[in-house]
Amino acid sequence: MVTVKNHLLKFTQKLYHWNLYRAILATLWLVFPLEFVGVTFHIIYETCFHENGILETAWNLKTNLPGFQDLAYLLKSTNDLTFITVSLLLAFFSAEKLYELHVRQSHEHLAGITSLFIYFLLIVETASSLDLPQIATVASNLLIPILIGLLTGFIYSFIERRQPTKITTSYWATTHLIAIFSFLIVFIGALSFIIYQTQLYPNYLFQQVQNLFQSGKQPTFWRIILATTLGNLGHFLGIINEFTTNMGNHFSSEGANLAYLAVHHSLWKVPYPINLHTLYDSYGALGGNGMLLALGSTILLRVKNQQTRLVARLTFGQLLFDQGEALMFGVPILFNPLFFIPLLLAPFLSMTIGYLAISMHLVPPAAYVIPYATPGILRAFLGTNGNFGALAVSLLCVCVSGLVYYPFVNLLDQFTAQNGDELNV
Amino acid sequence: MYKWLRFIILATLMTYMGFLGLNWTQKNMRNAIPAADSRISPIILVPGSSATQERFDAMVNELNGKTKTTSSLLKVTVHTDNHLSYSGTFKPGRSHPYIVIAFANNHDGYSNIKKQAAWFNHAIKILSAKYQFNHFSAIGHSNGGLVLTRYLEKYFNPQKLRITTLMTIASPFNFSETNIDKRTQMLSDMIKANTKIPSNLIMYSVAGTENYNNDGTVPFASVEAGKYIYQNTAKKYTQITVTGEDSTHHDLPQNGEIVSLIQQYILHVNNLPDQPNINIRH
Repeated sequence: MVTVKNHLLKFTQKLYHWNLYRAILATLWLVFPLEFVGVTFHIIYETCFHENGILETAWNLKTNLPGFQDLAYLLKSTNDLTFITVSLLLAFFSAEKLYELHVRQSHEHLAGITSLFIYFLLIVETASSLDLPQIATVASNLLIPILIGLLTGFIYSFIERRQPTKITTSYWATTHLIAIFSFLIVFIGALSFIIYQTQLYPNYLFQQVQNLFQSGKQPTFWRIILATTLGNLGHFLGIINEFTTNMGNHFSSEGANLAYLAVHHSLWKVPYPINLHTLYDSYGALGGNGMLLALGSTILLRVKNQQTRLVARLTFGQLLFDQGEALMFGVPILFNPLFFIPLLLAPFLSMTIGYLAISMHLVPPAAYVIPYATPGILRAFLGTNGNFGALAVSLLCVCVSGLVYYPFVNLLDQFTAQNGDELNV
Repeated sequence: MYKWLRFIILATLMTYMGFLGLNWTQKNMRNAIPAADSRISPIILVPGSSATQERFDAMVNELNGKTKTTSSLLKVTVHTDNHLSYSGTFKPGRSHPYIVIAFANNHDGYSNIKKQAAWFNHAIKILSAKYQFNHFSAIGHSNGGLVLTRYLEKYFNPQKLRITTLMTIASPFNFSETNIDKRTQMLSDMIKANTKIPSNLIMYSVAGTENYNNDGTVPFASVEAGKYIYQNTAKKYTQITVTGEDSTHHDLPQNGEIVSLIQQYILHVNNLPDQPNINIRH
């Protein structure tokens, strides 16, 4: 264990001295405030303005609140725009930061603007239609803007070194930028066209992977573990798309459970006691993917570093509503090798606990329909029609995941102690 | 201090949400509609006043004679102490089984119709559990149609049961009143409660006429008054008038025309042989 820790620390340190990685860290920290605000409003939308959201059902806002539909629409489009802006800023700042780290001088933001332009063209042109929600869906994948930003920043710093005259001078800009932007429009257009026309192929690949999980129809423990681990791995790398979020969502088992419940009203004998909903949603994703509620609590209890504490304190309320994105930006957890192991291990252990509890008939499987955006720790409780055993199992899962995160959170303190204030690039 | 306040606020919020969420979940599941129809969909027959459970024997014989498959006929009488007596058979086959629900107390009058609707509700609860069906069609003759209307307005729970088609045969919605402007207490009560009529119900009201005014017992205007209850509340409301042979009030159930209507609208049996569709090209 100690050697593993040392290796991890060394690896992180090595990574940290790499300009590409430092650019990512700096970018994530810069974008954190906007992401935090976006997530906060997203929670308000989901709990209060989404149909069957938990507070919407509680106060019956749809009928009681005048202008409910208009407010919901306003909030939804604001959310979409905020998250698109977050992605655009990721593209902008990752190019900027990399350029600054390489060249260490001002350049009137040409790298950032170019990267922003490339990314914006790309998401709009590859979205399945030109409306806001579709573009927001494409933009939710965080790996793409970061990669584009890094690539652009790298190319600009490469040009900068070769160029005898500095690219910030107006002469270079006027003669070259026209050519660069014209080229980009044609190039991105062609690229998008190809991606759009061949969308079938990635979709086909995803289909095949999904079929692999669902062969035999009956969801099994290992199949669910495999699907969710793959999804969490994607989220660790910022790959948030339909595939990684809905990986195991296509089992028909939940519908069958509900049909049974509608007639018999008994949870103990539902036809599929083990499925994605009863294991992952109820016990394996408290605080969002990767049991982040446990990580947030552990940071609050243990970490001394002020910046990390601030992030955890701010985002704790969001974690209760399973929105871990702001925490992933702030600590950061995205691309952070220190958290790679617990991020995959904590959900696995939690789901194992859930699986054992259900198969030993300690708690019934959570098969009831629950309000939208129900806080994670309440999901099993509500889904089992108020079984306090299920609530206890949820809390146990958070504690066990906290223990899994604990040694790695300790590493975070060691790491910041060694690198000092340098972390705040 | 601030830290604790924060903790307390979050804990209170969680408890509050847990409490209300549970409330919603339970309500939601209680109202959950079984996703699939049961395989069995019986046709419930309700006789009118002074008629017994044997009232529909002739009609069912007629119907069975006209269709290829023979449906079983179960006759149930609800006694005043709520106990049920059975005769006949119930066979869940390919065709719709018939269940007659008759009442030991079969007197006329609004107060008795109220009682009969309660008895009917009691009987259908027991029968749907016993023979495992969750949807049915119903035919009510004379006061039987009134009992069914009262049942739909007062007792019917669309989350538990579904009624596809209702046919009333010569049901006097305004009793013996010939003037439509003079509404009896029952008719005004039924119009007032008509919001409870299931919105997906397909309703046929059949009237018989021996002369231009009535079928010998029930005035045509009284049957027609049903439109004030069903029109625009049910999905479809169709008023049909039958004349000619066997169109007196008591003969109506076995009236050949009405038997054909039942076949067509409730059994959905098409008498015509399948015709080849000449427009299909291969």
